[in-house]
Amino acid sequence: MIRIVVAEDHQLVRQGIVKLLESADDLSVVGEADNGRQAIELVVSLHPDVMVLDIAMPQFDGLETLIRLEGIRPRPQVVMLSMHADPTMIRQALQSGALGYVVKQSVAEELLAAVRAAKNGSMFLSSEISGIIANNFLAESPKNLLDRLSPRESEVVKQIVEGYSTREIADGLRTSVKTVEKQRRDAMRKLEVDNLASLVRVSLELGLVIGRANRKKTGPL
Amino acid sequence: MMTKLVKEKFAWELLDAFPNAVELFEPDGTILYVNKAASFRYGKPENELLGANIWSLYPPGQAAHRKTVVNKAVNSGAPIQFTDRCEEQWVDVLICPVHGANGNVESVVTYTHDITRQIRAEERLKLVSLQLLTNQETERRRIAQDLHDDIGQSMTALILTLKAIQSDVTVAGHKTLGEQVKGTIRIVEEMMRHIRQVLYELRPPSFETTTPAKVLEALCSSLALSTGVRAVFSSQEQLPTMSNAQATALYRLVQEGMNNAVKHAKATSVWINLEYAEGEINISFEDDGEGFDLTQRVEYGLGLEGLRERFLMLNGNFDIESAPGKGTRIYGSLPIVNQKTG
Repeated sequence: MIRIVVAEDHQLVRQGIVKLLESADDLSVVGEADNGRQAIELVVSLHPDVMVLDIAMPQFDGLETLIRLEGIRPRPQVVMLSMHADPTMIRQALQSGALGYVVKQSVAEELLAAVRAAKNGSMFLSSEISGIIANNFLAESPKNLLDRLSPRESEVVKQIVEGYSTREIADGLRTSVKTVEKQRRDAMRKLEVDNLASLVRVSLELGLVIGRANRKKTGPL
Repeated sequence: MMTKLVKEKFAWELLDAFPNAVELFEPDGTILYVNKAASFRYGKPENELLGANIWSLYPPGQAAHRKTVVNKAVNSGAPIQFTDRCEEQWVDVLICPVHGANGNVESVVTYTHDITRQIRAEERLKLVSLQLLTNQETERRRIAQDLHDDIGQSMTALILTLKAIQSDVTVAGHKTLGEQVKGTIRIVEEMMRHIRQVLYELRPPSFETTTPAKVLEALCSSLALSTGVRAVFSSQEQLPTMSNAQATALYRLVQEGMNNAVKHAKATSVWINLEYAEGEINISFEDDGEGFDLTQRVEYGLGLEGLRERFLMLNGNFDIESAPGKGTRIYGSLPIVNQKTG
């Protein structure tokens, strides 16, 4: 039997959660709290296996309660409940030791699985959150260094490698020198280089600019 | 028909009736003429001013600046206009070289227009607009809070209750009824998803506990997920601290850029950059959508126009570049007074 404490300030929601958890044969709700302080007291006195913790609560919100659980032994595994799939909150919750993160809209479908996973020490995230994390992961993948450049940044870098001056690039693209300089800085940050020579080298290596055949012709035409 | 004398008298009277101060002086500063407004401005009668040196009427610093401008106008032969501030007074000054018959600059005339009232009115307008903007954000926060606390929670409770009903009726053998309740749960879940989207649009998350860069990054991934547009966010690691109003302006730019990219431009990818350079926070939002002709589409969105106002009010800059088939680029920059990074 998995022993659970539910901390949720909204009474109707808490009752619903308790009813849902109690409907499963292997789960038992041993305590209910409507604020963070009370939740910690229950953990100290009841030693639950798992705590279902709402992120928005009075008197220590979910994140603060989570941090305060740190020093308590035995420390229960925690499943966070939130209205939002906010990546920052998710990151903070997971870094502070939560194993599960369930958005409220999927609570009926996912809470039981999240609680069972937490008891076993495994992570459980709402399917929606997995999507966000996958998205971030793909966006940060170093293989796509070039992909990170916008069309305009690629164009600016190309023209820099071809030897055009900032003023010439700005005139050609009908924009200001200041904007071109900003785009050059943005491109350099994305390509992880800190000087123009490296920018040129990396652009050639990555195939953003092919060879130097089409370099700008200098001198009178 | 007016005689030359009558015409001249008429001209002098006109100049005296002129509310702007008019002075005529030689390039070395010797005053040749002042109108009534000028004599009033210097607080001296006309006969005391004539023949006096104009630079002696200004504090040393200002006199030096004016001398430089007058020399420039004399040398170039072209008029120069500038705005000057003397203590609590703001003036618009036009300095015109006067050419003699041989084409050389013989004297200089200045027109001084008091614009203090206009400047004060602009300052007040800015203050009021800023206040309106703050009120709007407060109101949005309140609505978001209500949506979150009341409707969101009640819908969660509703989903849980329906779930309990579903398992009860399923256990009791009413399989079809159970399926119907399950379908109802789906609908409520979908409603909640929409409400959450509205919440996100209404209220930027707190910038007190999270840095603006992290908040914007989160906003981008959330928008990417809900719209299906690929969002590439890039930010410098260390940004200076900025005010809540500034961070909110950046947030609104990303929202509005995304709105434009999805609804109007039908973009498939967007690129957002955040950086600090030369005392300014720069944000850019680029999309690969259809773009539009800036000269044609005057109503390119109240949203974008409101955004421009927001940036100007915060003493920043705002610019849009777009052309049909060339995507759209939105640039915003905000000055950072406190240069502490963190």
